[in-house]
Amino acid sequence: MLGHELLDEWSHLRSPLHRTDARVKLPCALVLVVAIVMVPVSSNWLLMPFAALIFALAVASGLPGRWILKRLLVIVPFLAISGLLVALLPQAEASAVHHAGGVGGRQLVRHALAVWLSVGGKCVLTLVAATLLTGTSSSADLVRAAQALRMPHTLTALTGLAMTYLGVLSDEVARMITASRSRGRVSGLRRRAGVLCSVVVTAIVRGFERAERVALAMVSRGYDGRIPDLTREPVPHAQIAGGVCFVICTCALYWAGVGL
Amino acid sequence: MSTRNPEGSQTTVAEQFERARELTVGGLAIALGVLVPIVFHAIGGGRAGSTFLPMYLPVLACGMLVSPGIAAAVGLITPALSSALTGMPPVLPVLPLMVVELAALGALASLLHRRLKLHVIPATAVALLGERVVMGIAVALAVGLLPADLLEALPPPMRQPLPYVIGATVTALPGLALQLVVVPVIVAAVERTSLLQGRGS
Repeated sequence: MLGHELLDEWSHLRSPLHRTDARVKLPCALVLVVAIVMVPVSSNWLLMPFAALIFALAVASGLPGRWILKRLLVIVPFLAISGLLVALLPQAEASAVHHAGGVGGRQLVRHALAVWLSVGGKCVLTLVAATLLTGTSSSADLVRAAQALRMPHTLTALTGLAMTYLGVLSDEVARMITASRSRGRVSGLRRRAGVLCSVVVTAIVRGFERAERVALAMVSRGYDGRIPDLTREPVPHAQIAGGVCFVICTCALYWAGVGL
Repeated sequence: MSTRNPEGSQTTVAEQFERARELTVGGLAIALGVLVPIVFHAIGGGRAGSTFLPMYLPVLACGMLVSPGIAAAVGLITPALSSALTGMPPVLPVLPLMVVELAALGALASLLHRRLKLHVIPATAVALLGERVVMGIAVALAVGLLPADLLEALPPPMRQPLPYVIGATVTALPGLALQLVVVPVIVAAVERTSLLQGRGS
């Protein structure tokens, strides 16, 4: 599941990307993701230089390739289903166009393939970019970076609490599953689904109870409507300059590619 | 007893507790919104998401328990955080739509149950209906506003808002039924054990 050790599994490494402040990495990653998403279908080739850039960043990050590929596995069913649709559906349409005396059948298949490559490529690249960001920074650093970048206080507070709860809830669910298994094996799909539902609902209800206890503890410790911001040292000028260069290069690459 | 908050206005301890409770409940709902879909995907495969709408479950339940602003924020953050941490929902074309839908769902649920004091079952049904309307408006806006080059990247069914919403609703019927059954159970259980008994309906 998504415990703290998994969220921050590789944030302790000492690569150049890890050493870069999260306040620099976060806006850079956002600009990169927006640039990738904005690439038009007609300029699909532009995804290649972005892929090369992300590959270079992945190598520089020192994150294990297997770990990055494992994070990408989740997108495989989505790509496979949409690929299958591209392979089957447009050909039927294309052959209908062909039999009706039209000449656009092959173009239709080519266009569907281009759309699939565009959507699939963008999904993979943005996911790798997000994986690099979350893999090279601790979750606490990312929340603090969002706070420093003047994101609304409510959003950063909620995200910070959610990150904390992810670990707590994962442990809780794991404990409940272990307890359920130790009571004996449940056979039959329906009974297993029932056990799963009861585990999920119990985890949700216990979680909400825990949330109220945490709120009470927060107020008892002097919570005044604002999550305290720990004092941070300023971002080194070299890192700011590097970040600005990265943003300019990304925008230039996009505009150059789209303009061609 | 009252204290001064960072904005300079006076707040009572009860108000501070309510504010803290909303934040912790919202944070918990976001975490559940990331974890519950993982469980569903692990058991039901890739299509379980669009069929059972597991991310809607905690957002909807949270909407019934917190103010509209926090509920909308929860709906906004949950799909974005899940996409960044687990890759689901994919950034294109689902994530922007889900952000709008879930923010509207949370805000509507909160308005109906906490402000208008509607019972949790009709509130759930109306919020889900409203969310489908918002989905249609969001798709229509996307189709109307996106430049032609980017519009091409949308899957063909998404380019026609009404058929898309009808198709998505038919696919998600088991999920919508699940929300109608499970959300009232969760909300009733939480309100029964809440430290603030008597709030909500």
